[in-house]
Amino acid sequence: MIFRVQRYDPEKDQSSHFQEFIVFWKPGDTVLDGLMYIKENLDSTLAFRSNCRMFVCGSCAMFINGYPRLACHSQIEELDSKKLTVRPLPNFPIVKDLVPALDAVFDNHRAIKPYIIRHDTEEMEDPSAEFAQLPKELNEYAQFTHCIKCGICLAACPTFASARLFSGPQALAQCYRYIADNRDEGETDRAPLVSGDHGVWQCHLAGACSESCPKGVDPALGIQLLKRRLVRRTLRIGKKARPAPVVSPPTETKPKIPVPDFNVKR
Amino acid sequence: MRNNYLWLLHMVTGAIVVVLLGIHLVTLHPGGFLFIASKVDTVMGIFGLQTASAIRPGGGMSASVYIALLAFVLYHGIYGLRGIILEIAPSDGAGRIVTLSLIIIGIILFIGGFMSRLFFPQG
Repeated sequence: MIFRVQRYDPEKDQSSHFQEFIVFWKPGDTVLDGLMYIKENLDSTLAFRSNCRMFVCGSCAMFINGYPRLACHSQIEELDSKKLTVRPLPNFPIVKDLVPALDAVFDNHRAIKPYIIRHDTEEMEDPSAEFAQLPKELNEYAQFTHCIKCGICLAACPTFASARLFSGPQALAQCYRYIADNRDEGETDRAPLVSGDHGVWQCHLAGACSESCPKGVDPALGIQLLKRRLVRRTLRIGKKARPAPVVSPPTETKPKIPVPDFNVKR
Repeated sequence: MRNNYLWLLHMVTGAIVVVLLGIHLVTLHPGGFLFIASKVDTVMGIFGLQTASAIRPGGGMSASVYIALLAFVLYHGIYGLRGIILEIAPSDGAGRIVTLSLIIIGIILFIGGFMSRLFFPQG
């Protein structure tokens, strides 16, 4: 298999260029295996990110044959191509070779306050028990918890390609994840953060984010649900849900049959 | 919060424009619609209303529909244009300049349309 890899060394190159490598592979090998083969046997200067090798960390997100994918999740055989073109994720500055600068992903994510916000600070600082949450309440946001922050959705998003100030599908979907969590009381804090000129209203519902997500998350759905929440909030319609209460300690009950006291009396 | 209202208004004006455009087309192209208009007259006559004749060119309602259509189309179109331009705006400051410019253009176009309707009524 010919691997056509985009190379760029900021210390030496004025612009990026392509370099081809012949990689020996076997069925079951992934694109990441091919890149590791190149690095170990052909060119040790090739730079790329990888970590878990089992599509749970999101480190190896790349543009493979014109589509953003995880390299560890892309089997060479399934790509069914005589030549593999591997490029860094689009819409991000390049650090080197296949390594993009993902600051926009993490900055936008951090900006939406990605943590549970509660007003009962005493319970947050010194928790006494867990918060009660029914399975159906968990299902409201469960799929959005699968996000691994790989940046593929931002690479696929046509709005983010032109509007670099756009928050992006990852941050907006995560904002919905926390707002929809019944343990959270931070909707008032987060609503102004995503209602600006470059927030949720800049999404044109292209859907490329949902199509490309390797973990099956539907960020486009999250954004639409977030819009619905904001509209209801603006029009002051809909019931305001109560936050999840702290689970009460188990009630002590008397034993149904008299149990003798087995303690030895000294 | 402001953007929530602006977007909501964009959706509402879009729906209203569809209705007002339909009425506008009926009044401007009566040939195919007079039959429908006459039937509407018959129905409305039962309730003491003469809607179809009122919305024909020269009617009082015609001017109202025209002005309303002008206002809603301008808002809907300019808000959409603002969204597209803001995508390529390099900063929030540039975005504010774009917004202000489009508001001024919208007001000028509305006044121009209003005045033309006033001095050049149809029919």
